[in-house]
Amino acid sequence: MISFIRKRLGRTILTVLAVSVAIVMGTEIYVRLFQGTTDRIAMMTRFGNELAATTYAGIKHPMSVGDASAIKKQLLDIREATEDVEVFICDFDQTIVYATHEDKLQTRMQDSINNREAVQTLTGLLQTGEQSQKPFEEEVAGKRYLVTMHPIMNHPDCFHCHGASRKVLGGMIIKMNSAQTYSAMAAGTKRSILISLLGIGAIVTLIYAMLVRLVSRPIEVLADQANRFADGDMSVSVDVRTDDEIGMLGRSFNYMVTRISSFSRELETEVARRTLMLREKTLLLERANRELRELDSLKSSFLANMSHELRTPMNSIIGYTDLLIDGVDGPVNEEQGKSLRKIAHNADHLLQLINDILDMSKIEAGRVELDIKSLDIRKTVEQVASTFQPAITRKGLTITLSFDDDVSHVYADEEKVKQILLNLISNAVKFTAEGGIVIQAGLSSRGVIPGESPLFAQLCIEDTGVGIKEEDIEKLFDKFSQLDMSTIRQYEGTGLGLSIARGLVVLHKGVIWVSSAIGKGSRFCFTLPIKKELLEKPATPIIEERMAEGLAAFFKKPVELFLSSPTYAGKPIQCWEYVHCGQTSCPAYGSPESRCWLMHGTHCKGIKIAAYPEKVDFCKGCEIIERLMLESAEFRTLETQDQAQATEAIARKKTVMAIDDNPEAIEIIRKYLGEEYHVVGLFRGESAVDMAQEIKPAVITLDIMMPEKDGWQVLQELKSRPETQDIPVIIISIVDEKQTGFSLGAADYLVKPVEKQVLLRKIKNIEKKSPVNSVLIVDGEPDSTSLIADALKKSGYQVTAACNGEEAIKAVRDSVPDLIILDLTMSEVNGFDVIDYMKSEQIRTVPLIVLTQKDLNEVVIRQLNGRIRGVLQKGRLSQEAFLEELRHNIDTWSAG
Amino acid sequence: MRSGGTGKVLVVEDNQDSRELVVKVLTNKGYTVIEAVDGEDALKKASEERPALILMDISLPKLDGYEVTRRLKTMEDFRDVPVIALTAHAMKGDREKALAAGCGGYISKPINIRELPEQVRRFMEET
Repeated sequence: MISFIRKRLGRTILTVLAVSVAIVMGTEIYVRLFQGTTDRIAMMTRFGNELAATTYAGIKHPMSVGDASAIKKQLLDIREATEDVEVFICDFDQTIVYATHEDKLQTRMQDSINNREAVQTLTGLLQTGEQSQKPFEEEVAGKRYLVTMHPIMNHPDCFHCHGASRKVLGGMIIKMNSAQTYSAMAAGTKRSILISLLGIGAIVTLIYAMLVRLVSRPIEVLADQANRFADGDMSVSVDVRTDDEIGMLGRSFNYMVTRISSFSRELETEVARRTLMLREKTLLLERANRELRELDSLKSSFLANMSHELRTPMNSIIGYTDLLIDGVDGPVNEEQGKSLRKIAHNADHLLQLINDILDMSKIEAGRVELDIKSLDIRKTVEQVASTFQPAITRKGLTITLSFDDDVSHVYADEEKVKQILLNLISNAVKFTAEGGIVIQAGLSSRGVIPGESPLFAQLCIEDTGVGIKEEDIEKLFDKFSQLDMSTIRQYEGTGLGLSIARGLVVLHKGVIWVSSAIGKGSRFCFTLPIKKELLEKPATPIIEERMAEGLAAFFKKPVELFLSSPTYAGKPIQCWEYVHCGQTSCPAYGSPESRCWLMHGTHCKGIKIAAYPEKVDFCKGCEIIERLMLESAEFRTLETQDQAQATEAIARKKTVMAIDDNPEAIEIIRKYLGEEYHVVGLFRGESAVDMAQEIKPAVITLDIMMPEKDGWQVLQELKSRPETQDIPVIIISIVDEKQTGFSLGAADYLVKPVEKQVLLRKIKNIEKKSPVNSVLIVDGEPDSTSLIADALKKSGYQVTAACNGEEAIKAVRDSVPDLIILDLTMSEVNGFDVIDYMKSEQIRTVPLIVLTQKDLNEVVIRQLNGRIRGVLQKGRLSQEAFLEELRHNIDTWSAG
Repeated sequence: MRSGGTGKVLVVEDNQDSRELVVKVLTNKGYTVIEAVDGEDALKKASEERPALILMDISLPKLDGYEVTRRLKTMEDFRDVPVIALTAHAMKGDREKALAAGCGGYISKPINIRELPEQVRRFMEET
């Protein structure tokens, strides 16, 4: 019940109202009943008193003359006239002597009255003559009566019969039946209650209806709209009909919706702009990345070949040196021997370098294949360690091997594991001057799911050597990074050992890392698998469909795109190829789990993964997939669209050439201009100029940030060729460098994102340009003015000159020029005042060439938006160059 | 150093310096050494001279060392003559390829001239 009331405001108010009204009505009824009863009784008493008075008046005379029949008649009349009224006249000892009902005659009065108090009062009354003001209630046989008593006093008229001794002769008792009165009262009460109930009902219903209409309904509507708003519907608004608090609430809500919608729109625009920026940057980066990778693989194969070519002469160098040292062709003297040994030593070092480079390049080119066998860790480590025994003894170091019992075998390529150990132990020996080396093998907790057995064994080589600075640890595993070049002199090495070790460890799906304290020593650890499955290549690629779904979900593109047997670089794509980034150090090289994980973005987005403490180069899986999509879907459809549209619509519409490496940007321009122009999209800057020459577009829109050839280059090239220099170019870019744009000859400059109306207006404006005949020069320096005027007159233009803003305004009033050359640095009425005037209807479309001494500021550019055809900086160029530039500007403009 | 090398050894190597080095080392140990400069030459010299052992460089012009070995092994006369591959290719699979072609052993470049006579002696003794 309570909850039912709580659910609706109307019900709550209704309940409170109903209770209040019921209390008020109840009180009213109670008061009315109580008051009514009292009134009725008073009325009956009055009636009784009056009846007594009239009766007494009627019987007084017959009594004094003893006319008993007259008295009886009188009483009889009363009986006939009134119903339910009994009148008794008794003597002083209460014997009834006259009565309206004759059966009561000669009975005693007290026998007709049950009310004891009334009887006592009557007795008193008959003795003292004092009339009781109070009527008595009497109940006889279920009927209620009201009894009034009146004394009949002894008067001088009565002395003749009764003597003067008695004060009271008797009494008159009137007994009125009050049942009718009470039933009338009861009926009245019932009526009152009924009316009250109906009244309460009506009032409550009325108020409830009003409440619902004025309060509940609007609040419910408001709540409903608020919910829709919360669900993202920005179009909601509340119909406000009143000025009361509800109305205020509605208005506030509408205001809030408007504000939030506008914020949200702004935010969306901003996000779109940022996304576009990011996209352009990403494309550039992707390109750079791809090129780097191509370069990298080129380098690898080059190195492999080089290493081979290098070994052949090394073979001879080492061999013949050894021949000499061994004195095969006769003895050498001691000095010669020393020199030859130095050659031999350096040749060995060089060979080691070549070998390491070969190893490294093989690893990087992904050409190392592992011969996986079950390998006895203890035996392998002991074998490798024993080869260092002479060096350890010579340096006075100790070597300790420690093997945990729970690890005995790993799955690995024996040669490669030995090479890793060799590299790490030789480093430890090399960099340790005193103390010792501890080699320890045990189980690794890497990748272990609780409750399952370990996957990897871990081998650590700890020394008490020089240690590594913390900032150097990061690049320790990079190629050629013997940390301090001075150490190369002290400790021989190729600088490739650790890179090779890392490459080999990663090939085994392991990781390698180091912890070190400078001056105290280093601890290199790496892991090798103890489960063979870890090294097995997945037999089957993930089914295409699932893969396609995953990709579609990640890239938010239709799944068909990925199901239509995609190809990349002419080859059909299988799932694993999506992630094969060619980097052997990629930790996601392998199991289906990591493939999916990679596909879903963590790794290929370049986030460093804590589980892999070594420095990893990241795969570029996403890049490949994204490019694939771009090429297969958007590029293709856009280009075919272009062809189709070109044939049918070229004749009909003017052509706008949109150059942007982002297909979506071109699509937007197409959407904006498509109704009125034929838009030809171009994704690359390289072919832009040729294309422009061929199709002669009315206007070119040009993006700045493009791979290979950027917008600036394209613009310069367009402006340098006579065939294309007159085509107006609107730069549409996220880069806001208007100054550069205008100085390179752009007709206009828009910063992304661009609105449809703005772009349309700009293009229309540019199209409207007409040949220039008359030129107005507004320049504060008379010398400069006349110089320009002369130069232009020579070129055949009709020139008007103005030295200040006032004159300029006057000149414009006289005749509107085709072009205004405006100096923005005048003293009196400066250029900006002229700009204000320029906004007037008359000359709003006259193009401007602006002269300025400083860089044009943003505000001015905005004020003159769409009208500036050129910006020339005074003082930047020599006089001739300046005039040349100016003439060129005007000619360019005039030519169209 | 033990000498006592007897028998004919055919050294197939296109690089003159490398070839002469091997020739010198082996001659010095008492072997009779015949030289061949490419694959075709190797087949010719082998048939003419009937060496007891052939040291075969793998990257040769015209016919490569694998092919020469394969052809020699199809001939009755050379079935039991050990062919030892000499190669600078330290690639995985080189050894397998050499063995598959019929080589009896494998010495990787650069050759250690102090060990070479011993290696040759061992291969000769094995057969």
